Amino acid sequence: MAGDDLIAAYLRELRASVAHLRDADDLVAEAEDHLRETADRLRDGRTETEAEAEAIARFGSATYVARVCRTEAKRGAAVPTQRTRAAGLALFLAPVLLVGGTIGNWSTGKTWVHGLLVFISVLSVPALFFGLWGLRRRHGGLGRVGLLAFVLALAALPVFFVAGWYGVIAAFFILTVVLLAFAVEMLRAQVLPVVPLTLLAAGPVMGMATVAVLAVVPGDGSVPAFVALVPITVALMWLGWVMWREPAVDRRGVGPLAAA
Amino acid sequence: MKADALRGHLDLLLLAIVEDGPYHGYAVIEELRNRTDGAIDLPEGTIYPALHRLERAGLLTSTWTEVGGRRRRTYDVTARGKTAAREKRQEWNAFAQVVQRVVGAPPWPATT
Repeated sequence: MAGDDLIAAYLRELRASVAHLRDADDLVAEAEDHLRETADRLRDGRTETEAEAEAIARFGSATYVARVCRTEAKRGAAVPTQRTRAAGLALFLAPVLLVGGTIGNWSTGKTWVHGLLVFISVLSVPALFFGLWGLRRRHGGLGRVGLLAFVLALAALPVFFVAGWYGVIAAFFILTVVLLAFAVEMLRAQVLPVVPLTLLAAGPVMGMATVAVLAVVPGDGSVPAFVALVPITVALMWLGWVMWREPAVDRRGVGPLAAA
Repeated sequence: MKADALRGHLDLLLLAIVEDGPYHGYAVIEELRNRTDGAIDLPEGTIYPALHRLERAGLLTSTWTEVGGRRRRTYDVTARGKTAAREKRQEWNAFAQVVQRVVGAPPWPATT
């Protein structure tokens, strides 16, 4: 980076504005290459300072560029692939497996059918995780919040198996927080439909609100889970179906180009 | 043309240009300006975050080189990016035809 010229000052400002972004160094290096290239080409008939000022004006203010960087970092690129389609199907099936298996588990005796239904309900866990992976992938990662939420979801797995019912409740609480984080980031990304994303965000919020109400006014302890699970189930199935229906860009002969 | 008018179409424009590349960022912007006779004139710094996003999504790939003592990043389209560009181009053509049918239609005859 050159010493004390306008471009160097601009790059310092830009670096400070985008310091929190993962690709901040690359962005600043590209900005420097771009600005110096532009200034070199503008030098005819201008002083060096004028050329640099014009190059910076064309590039946009550091604040504006940083704002666009933040927005773009959160946006997905709407890239459906065969894997994200499969993940969508898994997301669609996860609540079906859980609800169907659990109802069957409660309503059947201790036979091989019971064992099969328990197995089916357990299958909802890998299905949900594959679905969450697909949602992240579909959105180009969902930024740091998306990564953190996914790691948190993985961390909920061992919690599920320790401390009996307390562990189960803690794991469900962690998963609702994860789903809320996913929903908020996906709403920001503006790639999937708003209604199921809003439902996905509303489920955990309504569940937590119900827990808060029950702490004051004692009542049926299963109500919060029901209040949270209904919108979440609808949302996951809706989003899963949307993802499953998308034409994959990495497969020939699928989607609107099939006839082309 | 303002950035608002481009919302939703920038990915296609960038993919269509880089498809003919590889190009570095400055060349992408220059090409965008040339192909539109200057009609599309965005703040140049806003192109890079979009290129990065397309790379994160696996539609573009990039390599770094050293040119004149400066680090330079060059972008190219991946196989998935080429398919995505074809899909987006097809969607755009269909959309443009539909809009043209409406805005280019002769006015309804007067019935006074």
